[in-house]
Amino acid sequence: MKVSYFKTNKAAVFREWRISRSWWLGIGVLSLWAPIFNVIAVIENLKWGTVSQSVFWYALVPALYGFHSFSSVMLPSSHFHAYSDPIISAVWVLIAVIIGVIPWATDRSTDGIYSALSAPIKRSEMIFVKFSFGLVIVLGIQLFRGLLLILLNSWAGAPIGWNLFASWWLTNTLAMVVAMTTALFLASIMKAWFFAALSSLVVLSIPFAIASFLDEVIHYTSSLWVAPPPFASMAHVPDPFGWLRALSPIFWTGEAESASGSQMSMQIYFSTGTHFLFMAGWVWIFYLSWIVVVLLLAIRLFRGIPAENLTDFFFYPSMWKWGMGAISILLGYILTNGSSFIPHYGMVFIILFLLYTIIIFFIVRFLIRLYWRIRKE
Amino acid sequence: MTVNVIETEDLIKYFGDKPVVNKVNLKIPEGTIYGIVGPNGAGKSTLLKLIIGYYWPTSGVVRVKGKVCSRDDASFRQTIQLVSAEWGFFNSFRIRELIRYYGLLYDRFDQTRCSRLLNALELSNKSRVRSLSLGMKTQLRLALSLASRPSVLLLDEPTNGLDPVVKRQFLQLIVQEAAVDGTTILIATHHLDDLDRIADGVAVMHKGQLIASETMESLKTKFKEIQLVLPSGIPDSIRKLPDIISIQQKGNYYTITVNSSLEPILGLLQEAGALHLEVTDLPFDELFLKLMAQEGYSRESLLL
Repeated sequence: MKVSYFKTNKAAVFREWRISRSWWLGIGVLSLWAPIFNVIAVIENLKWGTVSQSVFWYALVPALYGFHSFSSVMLPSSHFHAYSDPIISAVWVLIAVIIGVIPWATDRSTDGIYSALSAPIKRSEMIFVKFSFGLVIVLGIQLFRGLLLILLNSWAGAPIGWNLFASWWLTNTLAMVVAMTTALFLASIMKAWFFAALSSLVVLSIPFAIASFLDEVIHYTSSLWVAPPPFASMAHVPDPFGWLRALSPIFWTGEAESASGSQMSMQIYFSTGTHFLFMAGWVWIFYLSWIVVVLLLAIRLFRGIPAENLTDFFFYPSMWKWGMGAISILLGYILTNGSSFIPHYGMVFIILFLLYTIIIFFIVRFLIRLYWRIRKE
Repeated sequence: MTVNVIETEDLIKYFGDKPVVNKVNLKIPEGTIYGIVGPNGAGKSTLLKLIIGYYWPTSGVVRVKGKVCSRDDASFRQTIQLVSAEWGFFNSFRIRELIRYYGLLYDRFDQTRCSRLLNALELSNKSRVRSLSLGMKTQLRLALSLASRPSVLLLDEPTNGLDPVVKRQFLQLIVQEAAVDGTTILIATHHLDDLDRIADGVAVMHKGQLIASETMESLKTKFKEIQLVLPSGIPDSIRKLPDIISIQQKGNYYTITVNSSLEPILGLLQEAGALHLEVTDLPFDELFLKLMAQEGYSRESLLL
């Protein structure tokens, strides 16, 4: 018998839309906050007298900012407000993560996953349909935000150039898709959607935490080095991690504060268009690669999960340890350095960071064990 | 020639280190209604889920219509469906949305047949699934599955939650509709009386193993009950016959259960002066227990 795959796909799409539509509606309502966020960004930065730049920064950061190598941090600290903008960016990252997690959360809560796995729907189709829905929602939100950005910039008397606008739109859209795909991937291998969302934030921020940690170590131990060569070259060790920071949009606040006094403003980069495009191009390639790799990984792993494991908290038991470690590091980082209000104290920070991480690791482990004990009883 | 629509070959499924299905070799002929019976935890539901590819076998093979079911191929599920009361069923959907979903999902979905079945069950297209009782949900699932015209329909405890009247209608519906397309039906249940009326054959599972598989016809001819009056008592020569399974006595009235051809025993009884000889079929639950006793399983170990 000839099997119509196209028809099966349509069934998977219909099913996905039907079981998650109220959630998608919720996300749509949530995105209506966009104008409020945008206005806050402008009003906050009016105090600094840099309306148009602030709007632009709010829109473009964090992607490009995160792409700088660590040892050559250059920041326009005088051009944007360090507190409101990061929060606004973080909201969109969070929304992207929720978009990635929703399709799995609804599938689990309705038990629809069981009948789907015994229907003529391939597992890869399930993942792909969920990704496609997430993509459509992100694109919708970004179109809305883009329109608002144009309107706000016009209102502020500094219309944004189309080339910069396109760069902003593409960079931010890809950044949201990166966050959404990462969340979708983790939710496909975990049963508890909340932990999948939390772990996504960890995965998206952990490269920054690692880079920051190494940077701190090198910076605060440099005085102990005996001679510049060959140790001076060690200052560039964290550089590759700087690339990964492109995935850490929620953690650029602290750096903005700490890097004041940089020799060169980011503004210079943007005035030299070639350099900007070069950097942005790398960001886009990096983001696209991340999306493709994570999506393929999600399909590959989900196809390998036996149905009986779908009832486990983590479908892969070994992920317990990884998840706990990652959550601990994130919380440790947030408590020691995640807020711009906490100043850096060099080695004290490093020790505190490690101490917090260890403590939090044990607290998280205790809570998870407690959860399982209560569940068993 | 009999074509087996479902075949399993040394099928094994472990959950952890426990074998839930253990070396099951099952053959279900095309167009038949077969029952899988066994106590709770015998592995009936797991076997059905292995057949539809929901669970992956630890080892062994499942063939549906001669085709080996692989984990990467969902297309064979166009011809096979599982109705399980255990699984949640799109509670937020309206019935018309479910019809649309099944229509998109299954190539052979028959809209007219679906409407006819839903009318027979007095289900409105506008109703939400969550507003239906457990029994109605099961009937709805069955109607949608039958409308998809599968070659093989797997039913896991389908009569759970149905009252006796609805249960009878439900079973009748299965028989009627299965006859239309020649659908092969495999029913896992521990309600033996469900199978008595409709099944062509029965497979018995115990602790993950298939311990017997018989057609109802052979099962019914295998065991017969003879009721008679014998004033002089049953002679020892008859009592010691190997084909006599049990003899129950109430005064001069005897009930003898036998598992061979009746003629020689009836002859001997008549020679001994038996009066009012009557041969009857055993009810299915008794047949089942006798079969199990013959396989060496006690009545207690098979409590369903």
